[in-house]
Amino acid sequence: MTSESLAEKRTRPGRPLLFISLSALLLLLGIVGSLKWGQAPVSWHGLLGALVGPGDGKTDLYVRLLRLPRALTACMAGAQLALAGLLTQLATRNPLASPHLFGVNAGASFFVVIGLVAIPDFSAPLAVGLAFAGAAAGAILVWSLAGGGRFSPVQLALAGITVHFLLSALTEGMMVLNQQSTDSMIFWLVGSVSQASWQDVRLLSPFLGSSLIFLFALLPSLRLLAVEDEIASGLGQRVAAVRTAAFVLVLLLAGSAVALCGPIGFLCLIVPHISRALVGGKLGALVPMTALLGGALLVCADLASRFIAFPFESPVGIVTSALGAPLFLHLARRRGGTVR
Amino acid sequence: MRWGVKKALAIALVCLWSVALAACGAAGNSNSGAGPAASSSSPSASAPSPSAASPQASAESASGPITMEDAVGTVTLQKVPERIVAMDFSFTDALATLDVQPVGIADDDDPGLFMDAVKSKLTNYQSVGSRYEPNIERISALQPDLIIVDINKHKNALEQLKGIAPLLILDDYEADYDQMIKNYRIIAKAVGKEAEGEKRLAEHQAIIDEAKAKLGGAKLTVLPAVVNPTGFFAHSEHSFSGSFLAMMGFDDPVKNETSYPQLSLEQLVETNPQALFLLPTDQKTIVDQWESNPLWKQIDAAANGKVFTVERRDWSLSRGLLGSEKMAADLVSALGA
Repeated sequence: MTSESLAEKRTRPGRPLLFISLSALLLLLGIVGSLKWGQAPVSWHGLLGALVGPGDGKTDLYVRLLRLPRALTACMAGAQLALAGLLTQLATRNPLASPHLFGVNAGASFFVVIGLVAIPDFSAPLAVGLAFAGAAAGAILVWSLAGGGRFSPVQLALAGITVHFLLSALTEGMMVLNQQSTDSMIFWLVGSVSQASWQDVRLLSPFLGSSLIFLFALLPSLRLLAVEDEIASGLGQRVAAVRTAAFVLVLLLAGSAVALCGPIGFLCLIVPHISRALVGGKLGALVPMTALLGGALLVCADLASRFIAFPFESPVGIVTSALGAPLFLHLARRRGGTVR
Repeated sequence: MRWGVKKALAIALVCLWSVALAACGAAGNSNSGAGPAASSSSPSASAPSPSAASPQASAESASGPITMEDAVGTVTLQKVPERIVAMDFSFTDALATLDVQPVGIADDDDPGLFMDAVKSKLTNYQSVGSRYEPNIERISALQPDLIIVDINKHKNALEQLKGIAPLLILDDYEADYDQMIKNYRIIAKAVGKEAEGEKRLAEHQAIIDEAKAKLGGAKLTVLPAVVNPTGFFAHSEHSFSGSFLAMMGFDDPVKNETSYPQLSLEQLVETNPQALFLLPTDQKTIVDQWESNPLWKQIDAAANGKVFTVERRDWSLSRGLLGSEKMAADLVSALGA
């Protein structure tokens, strides 16, 4: 029995649409809230003026140059991470998998810390490039260790966790040996969108756009990843090719998001599960739901992170982890951690 | 397929090895760099110093044992210490003003972090590595007779360090300017130079008063901040440099309990300091990006051309009399009439 047919029985026809519109509404509210509340007080009237008016007072600049790109970055990064999580779980048929299993987070962190220690005029744009290169290197390492496209889910999980711990250990070693210069990276390592600018939005949007096109083209083939490899092959599916494509997509989605915002915890793991519980396993509904909910949750978590230590910023990763950990435990208990 | 797995594994292992070896190489280099200095310094330091120091000691503190109060209790030293290890730049700053040569200094293996005025006074010392993680082996190899440590930063290593030599435990890392002066008196007493210490403090006060006069009581909100590629860390009046600015008669625009709050650009614009002293850690910092944002010009300091870049080693690391005097000089040259 596959998860899809089970879920379809539970799902009434109008339900997915309802939840998709609700998460779109949550996303919209989250973005409005992010524009309204921050360190500097902004009135509703001022907010409206900043969005439509030509003014360039402080309030207008806050909203247009800081809060809007930040909210958009959070929205895109959240959607990307959630989709990457969904794809990982589909490709590995492991409901507790997330992109860190592909070595993406650890690879990005490792490269950034190396850059920080080795390159004298280290700058933020360089960190983004390095982080993406690191994410790719981590993913390729896991890929080759697991034996290319024909890996079994268990092989991949083992290879992924090995690479993850290996690279994390090396990262921590570098940080301990070079405390003076790596102190500043701790904020990045927990994950944050607080410094996002329009430049980040411009950097991230092609990744999201191309990944979404690629994803929808791939959608029919992805369905077959849920069934046993032998059955899929029997149906004429090239399992290894589809899995490779999913892998590349995860790298594009998670790699670019992690490069800009740092490894934001738990989002990739939790959002696909909540979405599946709400709209069922049909990919046509699950993919948009996951993307919208991921964006909405990260925007809201980012808004909440401004108030943990107000008026100072806290990394948004703290909020997502605080929300995600109990949910994760709940999932693990309910399912007994087994593959459905 | 198997072959592919094995090959990949082998490549991964080779990568791991090369990284590990590179790390060892780096560690080895720093040791070998310090090694000859140690072997040449220790005989020369141990041979002449007892003869040189004992008359000095008898001249200054003929009474024998020295006792003083540190942050945790009473410390008694049987004689004037000759082989002192300083676990932070602030202690080195104090020792340099008293013409005492420490045998070991925790300098994070980077002599570039000393301010010039301190470095020029240091003739022969050995680095004992990180200020955060005391390297017990390197410290004990120096056979010190006094180790000056911080009560917070070195909390976890106090027991081990106690086994090597008597400790002088000071509340330094979170100290403001007044606390630094108190610590200075304790250090001066510990090295048997109480009178010299008082004399140096009087000179210091004269330098500070002269700087204050030159600044002419300019009532400005002034913010010092450490800036690195990812963050802007303001130093509030609870930090050392912030408390020094308050003592000099400036206002702290941050007004917060935290010593080193990280500010976003929005907060910095709201804080709106009238003068800004940037202490960069790297060549490129977050301020390079902020400067291109129209909001940057909304800060009074930026609009009035009062953004200054000063040395972090002077303003934030040295944290002593020499550091304060350099800060006063920087302030006069930036804001003085």
